[in-house]
Amino acid sequence: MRAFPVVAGLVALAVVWEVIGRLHVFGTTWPTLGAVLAYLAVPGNQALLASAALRTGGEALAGLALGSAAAIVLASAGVLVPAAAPGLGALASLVNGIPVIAIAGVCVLTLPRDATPVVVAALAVAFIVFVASSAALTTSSSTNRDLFAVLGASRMTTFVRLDVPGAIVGTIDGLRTAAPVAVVGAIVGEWFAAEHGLGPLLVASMQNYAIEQLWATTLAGTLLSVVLYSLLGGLRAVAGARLA
Amino acid sequence: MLAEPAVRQDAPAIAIRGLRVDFTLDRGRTVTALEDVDLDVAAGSFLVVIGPSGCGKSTLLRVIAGLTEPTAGTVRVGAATPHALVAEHRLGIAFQDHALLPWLSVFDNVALPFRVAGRPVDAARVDELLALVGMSEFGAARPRQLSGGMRQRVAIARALVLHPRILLLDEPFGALDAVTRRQLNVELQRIWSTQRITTVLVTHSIDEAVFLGDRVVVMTPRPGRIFRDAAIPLARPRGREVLSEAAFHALTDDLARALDDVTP
Repeated sequence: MRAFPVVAGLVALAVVWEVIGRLHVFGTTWPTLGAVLAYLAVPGNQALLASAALRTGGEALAGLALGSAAAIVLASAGVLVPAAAPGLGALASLVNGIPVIAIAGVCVLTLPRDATPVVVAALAVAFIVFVASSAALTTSSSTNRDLFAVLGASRMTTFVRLDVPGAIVGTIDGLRTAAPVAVVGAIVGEWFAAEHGLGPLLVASMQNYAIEQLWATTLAGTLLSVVLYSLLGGLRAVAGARLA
Repeated sequence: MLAEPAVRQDAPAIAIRGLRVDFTLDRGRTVTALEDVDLDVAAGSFLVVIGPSGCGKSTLLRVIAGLTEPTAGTVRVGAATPHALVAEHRLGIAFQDHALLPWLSVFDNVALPFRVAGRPVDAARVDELLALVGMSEFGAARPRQLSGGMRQRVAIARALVLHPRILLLDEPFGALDAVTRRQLNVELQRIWSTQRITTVLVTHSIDEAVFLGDRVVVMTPRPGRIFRDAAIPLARPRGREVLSEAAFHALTDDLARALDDVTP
């Protein structure tokens, strides 16, 4: 029963898409869903999209892992060394302020080509995870803090036994929010520096006026984001059941 | 290492002299929470602090726990400061909020003080405490699976697990319904009688104060001062029947009048 609204929403979306395509509401560059599905039905096209999506997905995951690890280390440093917190926050804001496109350009000039999509994805997610993790690390109640103080806990013990377990669910929430951003970062990075993946496929589709392929690639990218988001949602549910 | 000075048997377990605590509010204004508090708590005795809301009784407890610094005056526990006792992991505390960690089982919550102190967990000691508070069957349960009263039992077990020299109780049963609260008071009295740890309890309930305490101190509203210091000469152990004795009612009536006198 819980799946009903989701299914109903998807059906409505498909119908609207098909109608817009058939009636040419937005011109001929908006294909019908049927045309896109027909493109996808061709085995060679499936293999092309699947391999591109896997590559982009791998880069997005690597970027998410790298950016999140850096963000969590910084957020932890901010908790363990409170004097450093404002500086770390400013650094994170600054990194967040650099446009993703500009980061990609700089990466192409300074990094191996293959590393660019991963690094762009990492920089794109770092701020989101930093903010989520910083907030999650300070959610323990004042009574819990008083308890640890009276028990004679060191700052490190309080961090390991109180702050970290209390921060896991909130940090996974941040990872989940960041997952689609990692996909965008990987695709932007690929535009500049890669020959394979969804990014180059999008560029090639646009340049060759391959409308169905462009839309099918977009669909694949969307699906990739949804899958990553859902997987992290599952992880959050497991963590929530164990920790909260 | 200096040898620990021998504790004289007649020395008070807690000695407070000329205690004053000011809190700074916005724009540099200060409010005095406690003023001129002198208080000795005899070793192995049970002191209860009551008073109207905002009389600083919780602040007094926090000062003894080393959580709040005195503005003036001194607080000694045994021969040392509260911080020294905390560093030795010899202070037990329970709050109105049970403060159990939701990701740990009941057993691991009671074992937490061992881990925080960096000591190996004495499983037999944890089991002994769980049995003492009647929670032996629930060692594997999570706090969210327990009732409010059961959580407070676990919190009391956690407070006692490291053989504290001082036990501090900040309205531990304040959020419970009247029936559970009365039950837990009877339980706490029984547990305390087996341990005889120097205890300070803060509460709003006069019945609770008289039932549990060797002494009841009534505090005035802000700034908190000691208004009345009453001995409770009821014999121990005290069972449920004490609650219906004439002597019990005479004492509660007397303290209720004292509370009326100080409440503005």
